Amino acid sequence: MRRPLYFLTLFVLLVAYAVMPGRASSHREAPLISGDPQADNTDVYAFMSPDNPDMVTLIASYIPFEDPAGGPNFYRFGDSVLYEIKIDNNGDAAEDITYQFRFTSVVNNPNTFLYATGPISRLDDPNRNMYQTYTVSRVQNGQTTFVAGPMRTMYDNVGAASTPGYGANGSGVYEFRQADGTTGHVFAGQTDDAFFLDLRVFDLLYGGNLSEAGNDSLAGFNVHSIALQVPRGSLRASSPIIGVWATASRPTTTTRTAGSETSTGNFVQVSRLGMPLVNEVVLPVGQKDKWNGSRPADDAQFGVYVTDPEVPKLLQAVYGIPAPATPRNDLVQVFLTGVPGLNQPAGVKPAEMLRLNTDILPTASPARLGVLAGDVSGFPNGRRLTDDVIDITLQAAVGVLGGVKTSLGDGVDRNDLAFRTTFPYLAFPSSGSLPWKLNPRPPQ
Amino acid sequence: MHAAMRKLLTPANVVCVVIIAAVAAMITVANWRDIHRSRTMYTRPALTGTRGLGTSREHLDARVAELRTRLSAHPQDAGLAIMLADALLRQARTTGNAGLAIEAERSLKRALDGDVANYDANRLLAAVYLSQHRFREAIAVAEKNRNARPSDPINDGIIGDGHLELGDYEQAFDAFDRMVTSRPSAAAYARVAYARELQGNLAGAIEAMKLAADATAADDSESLAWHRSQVGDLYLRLGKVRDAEVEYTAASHAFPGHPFAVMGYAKVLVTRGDRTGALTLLQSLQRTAPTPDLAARIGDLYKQLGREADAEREFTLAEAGWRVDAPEPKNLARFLADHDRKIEEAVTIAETAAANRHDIFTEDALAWAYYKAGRVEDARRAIAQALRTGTRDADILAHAAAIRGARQVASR
Repeated sequence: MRRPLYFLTLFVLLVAYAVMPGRASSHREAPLISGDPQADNTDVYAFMSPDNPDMVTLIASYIPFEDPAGGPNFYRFGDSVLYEIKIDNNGDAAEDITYQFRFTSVVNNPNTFLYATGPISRLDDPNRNMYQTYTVSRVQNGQTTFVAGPMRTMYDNVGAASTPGYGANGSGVYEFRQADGTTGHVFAGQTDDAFFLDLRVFDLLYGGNLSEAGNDSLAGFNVHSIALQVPRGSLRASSPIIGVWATASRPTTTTRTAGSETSTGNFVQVSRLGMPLVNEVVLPVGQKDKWNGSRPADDAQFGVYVTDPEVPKLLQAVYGIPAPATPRNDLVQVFLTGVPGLNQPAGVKPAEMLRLNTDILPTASPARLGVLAGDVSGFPNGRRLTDDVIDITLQAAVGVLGGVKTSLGDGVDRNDLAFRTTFPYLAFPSSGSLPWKLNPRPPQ
Repeated sequence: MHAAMRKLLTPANVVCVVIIAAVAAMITVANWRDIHRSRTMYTRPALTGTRGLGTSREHLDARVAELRTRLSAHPQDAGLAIMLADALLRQARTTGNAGLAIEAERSLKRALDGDVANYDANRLLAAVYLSQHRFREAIAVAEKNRNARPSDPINDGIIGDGHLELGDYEQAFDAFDRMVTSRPSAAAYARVAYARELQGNLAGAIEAMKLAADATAADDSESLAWHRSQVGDLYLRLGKVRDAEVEYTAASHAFPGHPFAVMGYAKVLVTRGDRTGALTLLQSLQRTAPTPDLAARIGDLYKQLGREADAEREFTLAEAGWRVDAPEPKNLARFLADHDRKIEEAVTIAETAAANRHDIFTEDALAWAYYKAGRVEDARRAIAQALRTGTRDADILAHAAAIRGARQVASR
């Protein structure tokens, strides 16, 4: 009985091998194409704190499309990533103040890969098997002025069994004292993704159109956020206007180390974000890597996408909208310098970043359309969590500028979850007990 | 003009509106460009492992099935063809079925039929060639891609991989250094790790491979398992069995049944004397991902357990598998030499392979075949080439020691 089976097996395997001309000989086929979500900056927000108008809140979010049910590998900040929020307070396109965040992962019990070995009821709960600590430091004019921490990140909302009563057992907010004696607040951890839009707006190909809009494509997705709240006086120089952007950097290294174990080198910036949509939409695909590694001070190299934009010519061809004469110095000025009389610092060097006038106090009733609705405390004067960036751009596109009255939008006017009223304002992350959003649940 | 518009168009607001209008216009045009880049449908490719596109076995299966269906409905959509090729490549890694890579190549060629300059398709095509061990073709395509988009570090990764396999180590290391300097990433760190390992720097390799694992997305289960398995292999080479076990277990946790994790864990069991346990593990893997290498390993275990007939059956399978595994003749030569089978043929196969590439593993296979054929001086020359990078590969070092000993015997 064994021999026929043997030949059958041999035949089957030979057939299998025969269609495998590329059988890997080696273990050396490292993945080539993979994302780097830990260093992927999704959004930056900068606004005057609604519950404390003397304080500026700065938020940078990373790791897009976190599926709350995305175990068994739960999301975390990168241990080797240097996260930075940068502030230019004199308009010269170079950072004057930088807040740096570094994270360290800890596993209490390496014999289990469970995120929690029992219900987690507080940040330092011993059941929290995997956690991260972090430090925040401030660098000013090249000097580190203080380091706070280590603190613990807010834990992921893994699910009802592991993280019951999420949000009721600690906010993850810490207070720290700066070198000038002022006090700030800091938060790092998983949150709801505060950006709200219908991505079908970007999907014209397969029938996406405005009549189909209305679903918040990011509803139920989480991100990891770092948030900072400091007195405006500790950020400003002579001007009340500050420029804000965030970066993520990874250490470079080399193949030729001659036995060294400590061979990592300088940090290389791999992500940069200030204004929303610029990186995603304005820059051609082929420029994105270059942009992500660039500094605002060098933004002149991208000026061609503004001075002689393809856009108006194509708009003229497609929609019959006359293209203005080039060079579009008007656009260069407004894209890169802030708005005169609102958030443009004196003597500004053109550079892309969020620009916030810290003298404009927050309103009790923010308009989702920001400046378009006459609310100068909103986008593009900084960016609040409630600012409806997509609707603002869509309404402008169909003729607000020409006097058309419209309520056009993507049908998503607000975030799916309510923002909190106190720092860090971001909504709590969605629970892992909810169904998978992106991917099929593996068979149980 | 309406009062609202008068309010809107204050000097400060006008500028804001102009900014906003320009951004909106660019959104519109970006979409218009995508639609009209060809006269047919084009879905902007989103690749596995990026932006929430998970790579667990279930995710890959579902994605491949979905893309095949969508591509059937829209056969001219090059974007779909690219995404399918990408998903197939990932699936090929975890199933051992390189027929999937052939399908990926076919899919990419279809995308390129309508648009020969399609950058995304060409980038993946280079990766497909690499997976099929068509190294020179991979390098050629990647060099063209690098000229088209110098800021994309993936091209240097492919160029480096190709040169590495051909044994052109300086060119490979240069490419990897460019890659990790321009854009550090999991892909770049993993390549640095291997370069260090080839040079005998195992501790440095572990450090770099850990950076790669840290830089891998939580939902890219397949990559995560791959990187953790690599760290495990490096620990094993350093004799740190417990550390290796932790890594293999983590890899299995991330991607249950990942071939590299299973094979790694089997090695851990062997070091602890549990050959039967290792055999059971490898047999389970063989049912889902049969390869000649796996058959050879299983055969070795049978032999160590005294089950000669079972061993011989597996060796026959391995040899038959490698005979149709044309792109990797060095493996067949090495297998034949290892198992004292058809030594003269092993020499011929290894010499042919070494005429085409001179990586240290091909040189090692050649040296070992010469040694088994009694051609000690030829073996000495070949093993010197195999040792030229400073590798601490246990097999190569063992072969070198044997060749050195044989030469001394001959001298006496």
